[in-house]
Amino acid sequence: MGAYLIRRLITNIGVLFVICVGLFILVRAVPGDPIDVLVPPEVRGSAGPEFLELKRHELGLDQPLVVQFGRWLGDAVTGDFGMSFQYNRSVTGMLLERVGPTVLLMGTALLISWLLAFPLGILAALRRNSAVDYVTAAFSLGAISIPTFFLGIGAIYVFSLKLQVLPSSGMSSPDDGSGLDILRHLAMPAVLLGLAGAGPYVRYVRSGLLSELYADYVRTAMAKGASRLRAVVRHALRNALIPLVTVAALSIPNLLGGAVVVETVFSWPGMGQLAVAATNAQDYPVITGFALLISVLVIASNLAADLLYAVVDPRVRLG
Amino acid sequence: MKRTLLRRAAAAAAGLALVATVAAACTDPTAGGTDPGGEKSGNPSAAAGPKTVNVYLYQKPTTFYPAAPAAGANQLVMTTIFEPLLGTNEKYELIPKLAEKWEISPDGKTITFNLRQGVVWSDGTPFTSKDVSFSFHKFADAKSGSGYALNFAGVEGIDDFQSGKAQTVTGFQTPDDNTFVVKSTKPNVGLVAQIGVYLIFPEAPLKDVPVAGFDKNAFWTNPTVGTGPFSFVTYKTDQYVEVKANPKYRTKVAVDRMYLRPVTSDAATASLQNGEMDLVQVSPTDLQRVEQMEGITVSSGPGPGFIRIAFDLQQPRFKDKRVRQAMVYAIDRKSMVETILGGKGTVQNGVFMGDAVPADINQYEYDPEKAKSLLKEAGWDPKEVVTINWIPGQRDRDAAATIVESQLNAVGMKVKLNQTQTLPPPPPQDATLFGGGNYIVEPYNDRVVISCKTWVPNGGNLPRYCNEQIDTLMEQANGTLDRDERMKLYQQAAKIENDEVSYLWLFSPDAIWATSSRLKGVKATGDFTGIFWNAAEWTIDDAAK
Repeated sequence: MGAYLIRRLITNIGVLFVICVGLFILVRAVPGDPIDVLVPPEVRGSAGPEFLELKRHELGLDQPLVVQFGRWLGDAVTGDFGMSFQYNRSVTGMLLERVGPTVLLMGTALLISWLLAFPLGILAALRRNSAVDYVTAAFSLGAISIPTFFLGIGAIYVFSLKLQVLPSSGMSSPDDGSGLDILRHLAMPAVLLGLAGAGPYVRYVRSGLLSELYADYVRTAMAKGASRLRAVVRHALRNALIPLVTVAALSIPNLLGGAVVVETVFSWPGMGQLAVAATNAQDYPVITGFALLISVLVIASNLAADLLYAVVDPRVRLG
Repeated sequence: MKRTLLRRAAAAAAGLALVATVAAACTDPTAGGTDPGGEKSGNPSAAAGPKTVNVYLYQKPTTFYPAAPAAGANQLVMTTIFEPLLGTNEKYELIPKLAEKWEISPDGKTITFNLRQGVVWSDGTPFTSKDVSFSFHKFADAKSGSGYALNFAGVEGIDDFQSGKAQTVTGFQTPDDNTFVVKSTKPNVGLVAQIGVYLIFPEAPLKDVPVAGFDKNAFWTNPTVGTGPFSFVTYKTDQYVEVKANPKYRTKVAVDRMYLRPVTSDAATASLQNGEMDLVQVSPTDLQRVEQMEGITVSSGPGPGFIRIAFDLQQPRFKDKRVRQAMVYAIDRKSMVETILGGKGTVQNGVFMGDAVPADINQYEYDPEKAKSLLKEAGWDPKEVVTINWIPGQRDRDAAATIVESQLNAVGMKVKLNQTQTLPPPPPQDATLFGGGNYIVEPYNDRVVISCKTWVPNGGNLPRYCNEQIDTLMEQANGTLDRDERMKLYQQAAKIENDEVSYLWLFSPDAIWATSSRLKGVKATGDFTGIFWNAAEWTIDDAAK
């Protein structure tokens, strides 16, 4: 186990380095120049070449790429992702600022997903090939397929514009900010994300349970006089949930990465929105900082999933 | 054994969920912090305070340094907390702000601004001509991060200052606390409107900040000292900028607090209806829907700039003006304004606007047949391909690009559209579609985009157009004090430019504003960054709901 862990860590560091190089090159391979974003053509007329050179120098863009990369990597190792081109603030600070709102939104959405998915998944498994099963299948397919921006704008139209019961955007009203106010702002984006996320979980729970329901030990439990409900919940479900550990662990990067589309539609002040804005503005440090953070999370949660799996399922041996 | 393991896993999962909740609770961004002004902001008990106004921002602000290259959202916020010497009203006339009056000497070389007496900064320090001089020295210095250094060309001593030979500009003079003088080496009437509208910032808190990195000083993320009708309270990134009435302002400001909120335009339009927003800039696409809303007033004004395409005129194939004229005839710009802007805009036939446009210029009415014959005369090769670049994402430009493509193709000019994230490096590779600018207050501003001396990268003349005669006329006009005489000269220049087609001008979109009935006194301007020009006079009438 210990040796396994060390081996995994070493390969992961290699993977991360490759990601860093790839990220750095990819971001800069996008045609265009961040300076153009800072100085649009309308204001070119009054800025002049001296200003453009100055800015290029300030942003370190006048250095050879290798030097730029070395600097960036050296700083990134210490958790310093540089300064945002646009905002002239530390990228690390900007990312940290968004952790709270993002976790609040994504955590609530995940909770809603589970609350929906478990009962539906169990029901679909127990009533296999019945109308109930088909309806849940249709629901999960729909939840996966309908684009969230469409649902989002539709929800704004219905709940903010027509019924006027929920605020249309943001995380809180500027002149309020109580828990209830945040909850009202949270309702639409979290429910939408929860719905969209529930689809796959329904399928996982259903198939996980189905593979256990007809196992010998469930039949044994029933033969020994356990009720069907008890056999399902106490015996089958517990084993059916093992694969879900992986799924849950792998959703951690999502939890912090935010939801690009939904955050943009509802102007939620989270990571997803930051990533979109930074990409549009060619804000290299913010894009690379964000992407690197997510990469680290993906690698870490993959590792966590494998380790957890070994813990909950004694049939798995790491080595 | 298995049971304990499962329990452990369940506990771990529960722990994860708990951590997430706690993390969210710990970083509750609305846990009313204390703002630098020392008062609580976001007071929950004053829910929807009676004198609070919510305004839509169409972008996220990035900095509040007035000399940084213009960006709409920054400008909107800054105009509430800082003031220029001269503002512009909804008719694009110059109006007194920090300067009560201004005059130009008979030789056109000296501009004298008489400053308003008794103005104080929001921290109580008196405002004087030294603040103006301090601000202008930063505006004139690219090293401070100013995007306006070139606009001071011709000011006395500017070259020595910009090259580092001199510490100060000899042409900026402060004879006394209430007078600021700008001296130029040659007559320069247009300078008044060009630099008079720059926002003035305070010397005292910034005196000792070195010029290198001046724009990165912490003051520009938290500009708590200003002369404007409002004072900066806080900027909650991605959420809102909060400003409050400045008690030191020269008149009583009726709006207690304003929140400027960057959201999507769809959300902004929805917020109008349910009372979350009081003032929204509306896109023409939403115009009909907003006009049907109850209790919402819609008003608009003609914009100060326009959407245009710059062709690289140094390419031989674009040198023949008949080719350029053909392109204008080929495009149905009137229908563009109708369909893309819902009629809220004007067809543009030159870079000049307002009184600088003569009555008898060519209107280039849509005429594809004429376009075809002009191309034929000019010997245009139908196999030639022209690439037009543009940055997608703004509805009017996106639609314009596709219409231009199809209508030019229809008259035998092969056009390929190319989306870019940023503009291709100058010169425009074939052509670039873009918009903006401010040409209506002062025609002399046009030289930046058409003069022989302002080719990119030394200015904003993207197509690298050049006509010595236009340049001469404009310089002559800029030295003419009598307004009517001056406009006549500009009109002559406009006539030539209209015939030569320096750019493929398309249209000037109006700015459309929607106001809730509780907010009174908003006077719509076509300048989408200028809506706060009279915000000191706005009032709130909650009975009007």
